Amino acid sequence: MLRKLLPIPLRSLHQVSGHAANQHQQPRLPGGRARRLGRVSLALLLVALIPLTVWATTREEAETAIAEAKQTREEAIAAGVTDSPTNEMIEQAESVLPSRQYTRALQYAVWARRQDAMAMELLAQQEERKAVGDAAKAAVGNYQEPLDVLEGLIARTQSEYLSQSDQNLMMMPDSPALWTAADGEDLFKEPRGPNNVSLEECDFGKGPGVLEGAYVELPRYFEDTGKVMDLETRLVHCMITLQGFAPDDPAITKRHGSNTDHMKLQTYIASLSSGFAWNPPMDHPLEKALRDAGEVMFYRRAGKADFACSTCHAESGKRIRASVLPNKNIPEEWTKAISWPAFRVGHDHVRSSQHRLRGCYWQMRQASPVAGSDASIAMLSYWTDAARGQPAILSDMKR
Amino acid sequence: MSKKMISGRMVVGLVALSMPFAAVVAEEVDYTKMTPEELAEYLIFEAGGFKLDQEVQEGGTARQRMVQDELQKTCSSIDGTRPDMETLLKVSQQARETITYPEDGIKLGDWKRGRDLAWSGYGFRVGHRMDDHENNDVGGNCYNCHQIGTDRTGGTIGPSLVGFGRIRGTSDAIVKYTYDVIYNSHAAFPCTNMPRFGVTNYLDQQSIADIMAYLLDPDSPVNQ
Ligand code: HEC
Repeated sequence: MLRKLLPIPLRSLHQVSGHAANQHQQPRLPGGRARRLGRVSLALLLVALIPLTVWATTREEAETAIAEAKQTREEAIAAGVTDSPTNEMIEQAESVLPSRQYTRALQYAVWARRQDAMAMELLAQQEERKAVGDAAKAAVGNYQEPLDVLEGLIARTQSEYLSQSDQNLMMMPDSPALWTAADGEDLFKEPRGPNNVSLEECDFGKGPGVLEGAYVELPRYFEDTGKVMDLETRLVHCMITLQGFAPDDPAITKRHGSNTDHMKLQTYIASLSSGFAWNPPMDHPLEKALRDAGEVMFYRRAGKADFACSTCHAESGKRIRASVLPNKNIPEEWTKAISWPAFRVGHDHVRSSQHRLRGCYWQMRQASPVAGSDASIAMLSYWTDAARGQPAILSDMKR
Repeated sequence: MSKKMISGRMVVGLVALSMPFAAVVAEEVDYTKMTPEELAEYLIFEAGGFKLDQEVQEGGTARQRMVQDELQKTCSSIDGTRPDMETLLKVSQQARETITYPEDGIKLGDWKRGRDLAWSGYGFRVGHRMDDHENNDVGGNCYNCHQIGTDRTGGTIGPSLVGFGRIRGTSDAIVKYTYDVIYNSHAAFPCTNMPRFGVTNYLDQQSIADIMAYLLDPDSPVNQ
């Protein structure tokens, strides 16, 4: 085998690349091109060097070199370099010992060792690159500051919609929503309501009290209610069933404004999903049914002005007055559009998804949606699905 | 007591018994057995999705705002795909038939009032804050979607109207065309995004005349 690799450069080029191509079944190998280059240069080196170094090596030196090559071979195998011509090179080195070709044996051993070292280095580089890629991918399943998420999206897309407000970008690190979320954390952990318990037993879909990444997987179907619920509806459910609040208690009924329990709690819960990719489940038939009905509603023209959501949100770079509108068909834009709760500078309040939805219908001159109704949840299911895979910006800052 | 009467009573009794049962069945509809369109209609009208009983400015309730007319249905295809050419021609034809003209002919009104209306988004909003038509004029919202003057920033959903009259002149044909587009834009652009301001009585004749003056009058800032 080694002979094939060694003396004839052109042929060896051929064989080496053929060999490399065969290795595709092997899972943990350095990238094909790098591997091929490494071997070709190795082969060329061998050809160039052998004639220069024929004499003047002792058997002991050759044997030490072979032992070292074997040692490196083992390290390489441990590192995951499973396929390599070095075994044969070592065999070749050993096979020339009896005929006292010590120099040749030494060279084979040294080159075998170098070959393994090079392969290990390539593998390490490849693993490092993969780790960087994984980190970037994992960033979508890990907490990230909202401003970092937004700047990442801006860097990726050059969307006019995303980058339209420098002022908001500057203010985001000091967003008043941070205070709202902090208040929400206290409220969440505090025993409250007639039952005097905290919300830590509330299951938002990922198990009782698990909030990290829970919001980006809402709306979802809940076994205990047999319904698809969004964050607001689920929160109401837990405040009533766990904490014992009466449905007409202000803690339940007051939904708007930074000073309401609802906005504090929602902002806190949602903020723990910042940087996570939107990923509303579509496993339960009801989840899918509502999402699909939401899609129909999105394109459904009605009302005094014949508007549908798609009138204003189905093209990129379109403006209403001076505001650039988000395009539902571009997930990198749409993730910002649906990143609520967010601080609305013009309102001087943190606002919820349901509040945004109400504003949209008001603007369309259609009837007002009922928060928590299946119609509202259908729309939220659809709009969240449209941002699937893109990281959430929580809490965002809006005009 | 005749047999007939007994059986009659039994029928009444059975109907009465079956009513609560019918109500329960209605509540337990299976969403997953409906088409997305059926479910959307159900969620809007039957499942408490919207505040349908609120009174609206034009009289009646918000329910009628949610009911689609034929044109709205035709122009609501999912993913924004436009209907086929034949359908579009039909939409355009039917739209032309909806347009009615003032008895004494189309007039240009007061461009100053027209400007105010074109730049106003007031009117017909219902729900948490209801527009009060008694004390405020209903605007045309034009600026939301069109760049109109060069002095303020308008939207880009529709085409720019800057220099509208200067470019087109004020021939009878242009005046009629402008009226038609405001009254029912689908006549010229079937399934356009633009509201049908005349057909739906969104704008009254005076407001249409004033907005037309804003677009066409040589003195209007639109044409400077
Ligand atoms: C007439 C145009 C128009 C229609 C129709 C419309 N929107 Fe909007 N939408 C806007 C504008 C303008 C904004 C920006 C809000 C602002 O800056 O006040 C917006 C904002 C939004 C946002 C938040 C975007 C952000 O930047 O945070 C969402 C989400 C949204 N709309 C969804 C919808 C949905 C869902 C519908 C249908 C129920 C709808 N819109 C109908 C014009 C429209």
